[in-house]
Amino acid sequence: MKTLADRSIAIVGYAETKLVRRSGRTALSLAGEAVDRLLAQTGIERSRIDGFATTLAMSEGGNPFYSNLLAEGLGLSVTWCQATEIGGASSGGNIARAAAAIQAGLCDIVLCLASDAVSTVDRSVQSGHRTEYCDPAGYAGPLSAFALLSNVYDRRHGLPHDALARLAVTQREGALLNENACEVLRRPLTERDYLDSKIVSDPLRILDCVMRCDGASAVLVMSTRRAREMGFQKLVHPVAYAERINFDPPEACGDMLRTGFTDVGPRAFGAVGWKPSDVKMLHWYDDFLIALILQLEQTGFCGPGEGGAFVMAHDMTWHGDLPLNTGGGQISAGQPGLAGGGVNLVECLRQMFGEAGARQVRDASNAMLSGIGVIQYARTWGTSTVMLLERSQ
Amino acid sequence: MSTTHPLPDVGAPFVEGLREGRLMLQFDRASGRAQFYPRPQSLYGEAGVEWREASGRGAIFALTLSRVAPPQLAGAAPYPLALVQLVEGPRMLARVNAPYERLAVGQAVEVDWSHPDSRRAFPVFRPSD
Repeated sequence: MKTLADRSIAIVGYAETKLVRRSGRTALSLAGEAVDRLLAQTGIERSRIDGFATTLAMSEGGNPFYSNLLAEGLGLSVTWCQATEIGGASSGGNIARAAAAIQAGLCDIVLCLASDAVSTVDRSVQSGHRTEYCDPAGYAGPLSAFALLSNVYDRRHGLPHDALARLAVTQREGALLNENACEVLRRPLTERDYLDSKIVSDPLRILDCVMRCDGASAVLVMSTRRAREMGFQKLVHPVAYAERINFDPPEACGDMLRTGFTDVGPRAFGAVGWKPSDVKMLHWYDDFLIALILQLEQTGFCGPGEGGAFVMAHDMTWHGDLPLNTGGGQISAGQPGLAGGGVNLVECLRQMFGEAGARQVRDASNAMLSGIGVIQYARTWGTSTVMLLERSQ
Repeated sequence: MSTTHPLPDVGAPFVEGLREGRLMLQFDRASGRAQFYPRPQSLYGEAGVEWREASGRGAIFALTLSRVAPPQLAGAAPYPLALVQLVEGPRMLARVNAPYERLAVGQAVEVDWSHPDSRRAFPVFRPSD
């Protein structure tokens, strides 16, 4: 997006529910809690919100009127409303879509919501290649795809088991300090625990994978001008955003491991004139740990096959030189279904607002957020997104 | 175990081919490049696609031992699951009916038409002799 670099869009508040395994609640109930909290924190009246973007919810399956009914359930009357279904990339994607809608004059104050109770009930059905050619072949869900791509990585570069273990422990350290993380995950973890954890699909370990849970997050977006008028002191500007759906359809480069991050990383950095070494902290989509290695290699932090060495050469804890997913990420806080990207987004904002308490990063003046969505057929993932954010001076 | 394809449309020749023990693929009408899964257009240009029988042979491109399974295969796990690079080019996600220890990336495989799932659900491969 060309229109973010001028800092004309601001995020003025965020809220989330605690992540809970099998809460027994609905997406609407969780959303209501997150929105109430957001309104209380920002002091905004519900009736001032005139734009609404939400992720879908696996717990709401095939509801064809989802965003509209959710707006009704939440008491919102808006002039712009949409559900975004680029999988886990939808939370960050909604910030960009809200910005575009505000700049186009469609609305003024946008609520970006993510809510899913997938661990209580999963009503989702994927048509297309998933149903027709994957399930009958023995596909057991995204972990099958990540096991196979890990096998390819292992053959080409050697899987960096030490670095994957380091990432697991690093993020767990954040979850221990995050009261909103799933309680079952708030237990100390050692690198040996990771290495000894059960293999679910060779070479993938159970601790390489996210655990599904229920939860919701909500973020408020408006123009910087409006935010100043309303007296908001703390602002975070999304300054660059790039998105790629279905990277390289004919696989022209012939490299299965090459993802859309090779496109969106350089595009986002180029839009605002940053380079990877300018980034203060990473809040990256982490459905599987190997995805973090590939993002490091494909957004310019290091070269192909160097992700493991990069991890081992840096301290990526909240108190380290390049903090990563400081609240545990989805791997150690839980993945609330299609609302999972909100876990990375809200922690990013919490740090940038200086409200991360015991795990506050020293320099949270800017951040890089990423999103991953959808599994491609016999490839990696379908959607890759990068957003760069900067705290208002 | 029963698996039915929901309303095969674009992929109908593939599904019908399985019942006859034939692996049908789409080929680009201009370049002759094959693609899988079936799509309404070619990935390689705008000349359209035509269906032709493929060899059913390929090599293991990526391999895992899946200890988890979709519901219809719950009793079959653990099983080797592979990306098979067909000799015609495209990669296909499929099970390989052989002990995992005897399989390796690069190994030649072919559709095992004697496996009942190959004709009624999706091709299962076996090591080529």
